[in-house]
Amino acid sequence: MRELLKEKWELLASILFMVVFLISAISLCFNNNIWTDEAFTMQLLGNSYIGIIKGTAIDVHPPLYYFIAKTAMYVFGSSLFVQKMVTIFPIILLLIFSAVKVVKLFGVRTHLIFVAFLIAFPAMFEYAIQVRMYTWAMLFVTICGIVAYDIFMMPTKRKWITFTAAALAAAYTHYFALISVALIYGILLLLFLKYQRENIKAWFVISLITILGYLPWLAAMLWQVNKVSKGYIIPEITFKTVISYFDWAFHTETPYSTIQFEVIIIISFFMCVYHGVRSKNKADFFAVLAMLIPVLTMITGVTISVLSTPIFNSRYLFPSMGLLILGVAVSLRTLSNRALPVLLCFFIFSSIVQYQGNYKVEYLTTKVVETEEFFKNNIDEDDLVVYNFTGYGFIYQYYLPNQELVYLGEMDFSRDFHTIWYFDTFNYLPFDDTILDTYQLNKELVGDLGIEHNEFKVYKITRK
Amino acid sequence: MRGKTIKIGIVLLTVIAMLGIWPGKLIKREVENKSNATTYYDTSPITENNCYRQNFIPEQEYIESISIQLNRESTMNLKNEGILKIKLYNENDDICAETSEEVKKITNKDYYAFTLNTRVNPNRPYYFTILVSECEEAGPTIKYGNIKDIGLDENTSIYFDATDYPQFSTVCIYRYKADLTIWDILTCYSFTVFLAMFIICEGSFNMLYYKKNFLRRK
Repeated sequence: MRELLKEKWELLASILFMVVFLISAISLCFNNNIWTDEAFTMQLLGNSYIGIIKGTAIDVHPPLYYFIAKTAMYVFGSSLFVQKMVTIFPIILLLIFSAVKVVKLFGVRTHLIFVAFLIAFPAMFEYAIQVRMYTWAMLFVTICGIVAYDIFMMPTKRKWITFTAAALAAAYTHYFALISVALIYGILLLLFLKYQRENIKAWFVISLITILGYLPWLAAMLWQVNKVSKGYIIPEITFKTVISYFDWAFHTETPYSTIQFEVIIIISFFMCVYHGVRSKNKADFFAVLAMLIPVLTMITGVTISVLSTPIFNSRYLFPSMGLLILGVAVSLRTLSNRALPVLLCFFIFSSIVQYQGNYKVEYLTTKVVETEEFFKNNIDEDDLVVYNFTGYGFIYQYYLPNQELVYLGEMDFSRDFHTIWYFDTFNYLPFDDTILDTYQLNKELVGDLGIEHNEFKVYKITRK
Repeated sequence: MRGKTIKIGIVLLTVIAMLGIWPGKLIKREVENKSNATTYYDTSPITENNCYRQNFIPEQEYIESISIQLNRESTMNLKNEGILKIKLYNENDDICAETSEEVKKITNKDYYAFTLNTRVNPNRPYYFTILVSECEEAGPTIKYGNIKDIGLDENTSIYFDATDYPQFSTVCIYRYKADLTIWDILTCYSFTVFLAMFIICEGSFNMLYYKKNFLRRK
């Protein structure tokens, strides 16, 4: 009876955490801030499905996320808010999947710790509302990992189908999710070789089906790999860069937060190794392997970057972090009844600190509202917008979709125009003031504006 | 008995750590106020006789460092001479902190941090001066801009070439150490208590038991 009451309390607590997370994440979505990658997503979604395939094939990511986002756009509309909901949705799905599968496999307590840690994960609030594919990748990789364990415990046809579907979905969402699921396949094979030789044949069949399922995209992937190997935007990876990955994963505004999370992970690792060796519990072995997936993904990414071209970025770890968090949750399921509430308190307070930090970033540190107001009140349809920050051209296009936008380096000032609004970002292509005399122009500073990661002065240029 | 002593020791350490976090304030939050340099200008060369001064009102109790942007270029080449000294004064003209660096070691045209690590009274006026000594040629220049552009609330005016400029401000970064918020304190407290409880309830005692019994069984 006592056990049942305890489980009921734990389940209720996990539901409460899920609801609070959903409300908190949604509360961060009521702005119109986008940055480069998000602007790329919004621009790509303006195409048809075929256009998306073409567009993403010449970029560096697979297309599944864009299909999901495009479908949501058809159903719910083309606003940024809808796309932010599309990004929160897989986290909710993951939490629901955990409420069913993780509870069944590892117990309610594991699910509770998983939910609390997932929400407290420092990068979660940022990526849960970022209009990119990372949360979907996390959903698919985590499901793949959980079902792999379930298959190892007792394989059934249904589980193999779920496993394959999740793996393919991950592979079609992000390439480092593909690496993570490839590692899961590899580990599963090794386990079958050692403990369950009767399942090796099924493994090979499933692997073949997975490869066949990925064939339609393989050519595009190889083309992208070849393109990136000639040079990519990611800078060289050094030892300092690798150390910074831990900061990316676990840093909050609370001092020593990275160390705090790392200590909890180290404690979890040693706990599951200790319990695993002592009682030969399969759940603890799973926890160790789950925690290794992001480490191995990082090692793979860094190795490729060092041997070939730098292609690995800290955010590419995000898809595999769900398994790390699950591994910690499984390992800490044996915590005493006295220590568990204290750990949950740590996760709750840490989440509050992160929410405050993200709220500041989303609402208090950019001039987007003021900028949009200025655009609405001043820029007419037949006005020209000239900008000197070449990388931001398509982001300005998001905010001014009906405006003609011209990069300063390509602007012909002798052409006809009514008014030019010149966006001057400091340290980018400078404006040659001799043009004003040459073409009899007036240039007047009218505002200091900005959007995310880009503050600029606005000048009004008219003919004398 | 030994186990009980260790447990008491861990509890005492935990309490000391918690008291150190608050009210001891041994751990501080990092706060950074950075200028929004959309456009800027260069001063005339800073020398021992042409000192630069920034008046400001600090926002926190502890200044860790002040970063400025130095332009070491002349029309000919990169200047490497001299020692740059930065001194922090309070409203009574008392020196609170000072530090120096060889000009050749300072990154050109990018922020360079000068560590001060000093307590200040927030909301009281202070100023820091910059001068370059042991420099025979014209010294490097400092970047400054319109006070509204720079956007640093603490800066009030600058002084160089024997003139006050209330409309201008240095292109700089103030790094402070601030008190923890209530949520930071609760986060650190819960982590400290969890660690202690883990060690006492879950950790080394169970491990020792396992080691003793496992090895005995072998």
